[in-house]
Amino acid sequence: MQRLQLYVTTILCSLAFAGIIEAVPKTGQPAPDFTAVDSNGVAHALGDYRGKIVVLEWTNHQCPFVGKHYGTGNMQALQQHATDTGVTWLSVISSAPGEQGYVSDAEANALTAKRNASPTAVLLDPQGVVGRLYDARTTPHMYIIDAAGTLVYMGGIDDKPSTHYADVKSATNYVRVALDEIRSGKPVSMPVTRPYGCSVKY
Amino acid sequence: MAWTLRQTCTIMVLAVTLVALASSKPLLANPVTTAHVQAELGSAVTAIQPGASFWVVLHLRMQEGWHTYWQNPGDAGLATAIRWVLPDGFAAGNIVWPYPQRLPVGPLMNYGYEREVALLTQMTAPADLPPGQLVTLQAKTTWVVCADLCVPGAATLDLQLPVSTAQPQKDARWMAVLAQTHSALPKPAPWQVAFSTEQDRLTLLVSGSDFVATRLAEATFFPLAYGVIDHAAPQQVQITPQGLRLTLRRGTFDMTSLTRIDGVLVLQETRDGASHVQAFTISAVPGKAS
Repeated sequence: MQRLQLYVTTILCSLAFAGIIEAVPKTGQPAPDFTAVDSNGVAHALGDYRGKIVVLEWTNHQCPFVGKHYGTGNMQALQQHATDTGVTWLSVISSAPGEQGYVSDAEANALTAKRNASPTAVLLDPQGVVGRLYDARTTPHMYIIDAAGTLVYMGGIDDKPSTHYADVKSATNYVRVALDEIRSGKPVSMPVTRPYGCSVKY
Repeated sequence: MAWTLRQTCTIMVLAVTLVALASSKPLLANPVTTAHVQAELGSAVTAIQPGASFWVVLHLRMQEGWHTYWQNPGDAGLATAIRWVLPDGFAAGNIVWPYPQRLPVGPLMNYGYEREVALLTQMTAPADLPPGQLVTLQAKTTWVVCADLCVPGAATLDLQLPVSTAQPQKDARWMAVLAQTHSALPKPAPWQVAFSTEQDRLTLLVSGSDFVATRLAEATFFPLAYGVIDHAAPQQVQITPQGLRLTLRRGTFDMTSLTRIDGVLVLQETRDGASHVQAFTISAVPGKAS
């Protein structure tokens, strides 16, 4: 039985490696490890942040759904609240060159400054490697990894899928709720929700 | 003082214009043209009969290459929505949606419509509606229209109809739209459907003996809810002695406490050399499927 398991595992792993069976990220499992370069040319590996809570925020500054959260100051407030409590916030841009949302290093830094955002870093992922690793589908699409490296949240930023600025105030912000629960040592009550937004422009 | 003919005429024209402006109805917006979408509201009948139900159509015409979304938009986007502003006593049903297309966007999959779509609403008039007046039905519509970028859109559409106790006459133009849309509306499925989950798979078994492998060209399941299936994954169909089996890739949501999966099953068959598409609403319950 053990040998059979070994064979099956080997075959499955080979197939996964060959991309035939894609492994999708799952909450309660280790978050997929990645290395990506930020808008200042600095490389970040997820493993660098073991011991810290990490938020991944997929973004595209030209998407009206992202515009709702930055235009109202909602995203910036959340970034500030998170980083103030020691959370590492990584904004990720997986737009391919020439696609909507694609930015150069300088443009990414200018955007951060102009809209008073405070991510720990902005990761530029034009080949979509990190995006596909996390199965990021929309902008925004949010993920939270706990200090042990386990993926504990994936999905929408809140429960009001729309482009109406007014909806931000009355929405339940899933990320804020999850971060509060993690800090209080509680399990994340809503680990998987519907992400909404524009499609990631791979 | 005697006015000249010219002065008299000028005064008269001004007076008539003022009277006309004071008593005219506000300009009713319908159709409304926005970036990439033209929206129009129409009715199957030319007059409202008190107490009667009638179909109202929201017709969206999209620019070539752009699409709007179904009630489950898939991986991204937002469903078209209508918020009705109606006179007292009127009741509007939920949107009745023609079956959608699968619209791939890179590795993602959206569910929606290209070129044009007619979204239907059943409207019911109160029985005590006084005849001989004009009634305005207002639809505050919102949508997201996308090509490779997305543009949120909205239109407030007004439909004005007279009230009459007479048997309502059909509006030929909108009846034609309804007739064209009719075949794309899902019908209740005549079969029982069971679902089961194993690892990353969701299997649906549509029980029946009407399925003929040589005739079936394609079968596609569109769930109503997000997170039930991986929208982009290919769907495998088999015809077995038990019926039609669809093997789907599960979505991200936890299915352990799911007691029902609702959705639309679209079957494309080839009969007499022609392609026939039929859509069915199904409500699958846990059971033996694989």
